[in-house]
Amino acid sequence: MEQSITFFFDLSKATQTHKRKRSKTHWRTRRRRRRIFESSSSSSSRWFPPPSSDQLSDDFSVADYLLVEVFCRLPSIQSLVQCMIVCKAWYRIISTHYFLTRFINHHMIINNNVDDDDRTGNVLVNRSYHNNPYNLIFCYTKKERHEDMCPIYRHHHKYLLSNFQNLGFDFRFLSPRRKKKEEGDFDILDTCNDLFLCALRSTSQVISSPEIPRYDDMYLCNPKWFVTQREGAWFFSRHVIHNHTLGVKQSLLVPLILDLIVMAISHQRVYLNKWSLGTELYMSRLCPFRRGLQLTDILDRERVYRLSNLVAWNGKVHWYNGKDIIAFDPFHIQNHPCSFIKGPDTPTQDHHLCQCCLSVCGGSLRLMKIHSSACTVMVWELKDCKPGSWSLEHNVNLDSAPYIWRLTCHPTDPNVIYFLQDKDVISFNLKAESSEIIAQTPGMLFSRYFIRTLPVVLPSWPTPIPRRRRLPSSRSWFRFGGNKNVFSRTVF
Amino acid sequence: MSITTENNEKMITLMSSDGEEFVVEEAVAAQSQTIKHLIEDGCSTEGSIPLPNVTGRVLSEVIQYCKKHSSSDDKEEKELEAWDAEFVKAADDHVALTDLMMAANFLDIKGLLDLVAQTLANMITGKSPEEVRRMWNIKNDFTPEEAEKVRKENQWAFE
Repeated sequence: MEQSITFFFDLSKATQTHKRKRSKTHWRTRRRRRRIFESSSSSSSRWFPPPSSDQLSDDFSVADYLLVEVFCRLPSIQSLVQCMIVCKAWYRIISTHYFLTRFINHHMIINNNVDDDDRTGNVLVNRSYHNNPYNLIFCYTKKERHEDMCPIYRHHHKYLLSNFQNLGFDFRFLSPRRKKKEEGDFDILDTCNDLFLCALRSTSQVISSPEIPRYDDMYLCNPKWFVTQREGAWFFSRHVIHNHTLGVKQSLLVPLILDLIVMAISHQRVYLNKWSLGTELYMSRLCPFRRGLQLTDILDRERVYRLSNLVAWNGKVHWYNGKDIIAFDPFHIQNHPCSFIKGPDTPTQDHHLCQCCLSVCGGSLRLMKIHSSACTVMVWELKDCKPGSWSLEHNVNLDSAPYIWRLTCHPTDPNVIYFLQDKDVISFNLKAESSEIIAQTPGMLFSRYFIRTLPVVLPSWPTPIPRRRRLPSSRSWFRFGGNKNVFSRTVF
Repeated sequence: MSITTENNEKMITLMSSDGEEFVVEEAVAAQSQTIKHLIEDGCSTEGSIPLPNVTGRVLSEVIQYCKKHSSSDDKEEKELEAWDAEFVKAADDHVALTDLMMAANFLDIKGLLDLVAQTLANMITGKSPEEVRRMWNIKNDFTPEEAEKVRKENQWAFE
């Protein structure tokens, strides 16, 4: 009895006791590590790279490994977080990359047999960490007329990333997918934490408008992990959207612990003032990524008009129409998926002079508006969904009335916003009212419509992509295999 | 020491840390990968196998589990599940369970480790951090500010 109590007391400061214990149990620890390693790599079919020996914390004692076994079997993230608060040693164990990989793997395997309805309560939306490095990707498109006179546009994409090189990843591994070796012949459609939704553009066809591109293939990839895991096993080639002809204005990634959704929303005029909201939903649960549902919900243009970016929050997709926030629930598409949250009272309703940006910061939904003629930045935070009560967090005057565009917020710091002014990417601190040029775009920018800012949060562990249930068709399997080879050839 | 019984089953003697001896069939003992390797390496021929990390009380429970699982390999899973549930219920508190888990880990019995870990996880689930601390006799070494910080950092999980 007594001894066991000490055991758990030991757990609460396992690091200190470990050294004392080590001499006795060292051989056992090593053996156990190997076992965990083997089981995670074989049973999980490599949804995560098997932890290499240097990633396993050397501070782990046998007791820690036992706790890992227990924590792995907790049913939800919520209970895991409860355990983090128990004591520092538990917090430390749960925070390790090794543990989280194990946890996700365990749940990936278990939940392959779970019903689709059983996913509520495990929603992870726009997870962000305060202490983790983040990055701001700023990408733009430069269009050029093709040499021959056919109305074909060639698109060149450059990704200008502050600190990008330091993080040690890039997207070169996607370019050899093209027969012609053009660098970066693809779009980054969206990001979610450390995941990137990339699409290779179709070159074989006439593109009527450069704003409505067609994509051959889409990929969900995690460049950070891809590169740090030299095995190359961590690569997801997703044959997501095939021969896409709709205008994908913006795609969205919603990470759930059990499901990953790619969503494309488009507005189509049905008649005069009625617009339909076309959505295409790709859910990883219907593996391999397959079109889920296409919804045609006819609404007044004013109501579904999109003025801001799309944001995933609270298990729904949100955007701003200038007056209200539209919350679209992709999980309950059959009965009234659209709900409306009253927007904040704004001094002006002149949308043409406003730029709006929705973001999620610290778990709350934020709306940012810049009024070009008044040169003010206003930031509201949503306090309560039901009546739609907002609190005005910032109301800052920008002195040098510049023409600024493509706003985005810092993913974790509520006081920092980014925008583009001329060729400069500027970080602006709303509290200190100070600005800083963090990057410059090379060359001329032709059209602001081709500019997009995507926040990237690099968590200490990879955002899970659920595993496939079935083997993909032979064709996509070939693609998968082919890509691994491509990777090993080009990057290393 | 290897003893052969009437029905030609090879017997193995296991010795716990407090000197208690248990004579079990080899098939039962071999559920433990650790013991299995020891037998394969020929350690069992020269007397009993000492298990310095496992007390007699825990070892008897482990043997009980191994016996059940070696004898009912092809039996109905449901019955085995019910038996497992009763088995961990008998261990009752986390103290006995953690002992059992340590032993399962040392002896490398995957089924038992799974079972006990799941039971412990179920015990934690739905409890507040304070309840968990009381239950497992853990000292809260977070300052209120630190605890608040951790809670805030992970607020997303509760949205």
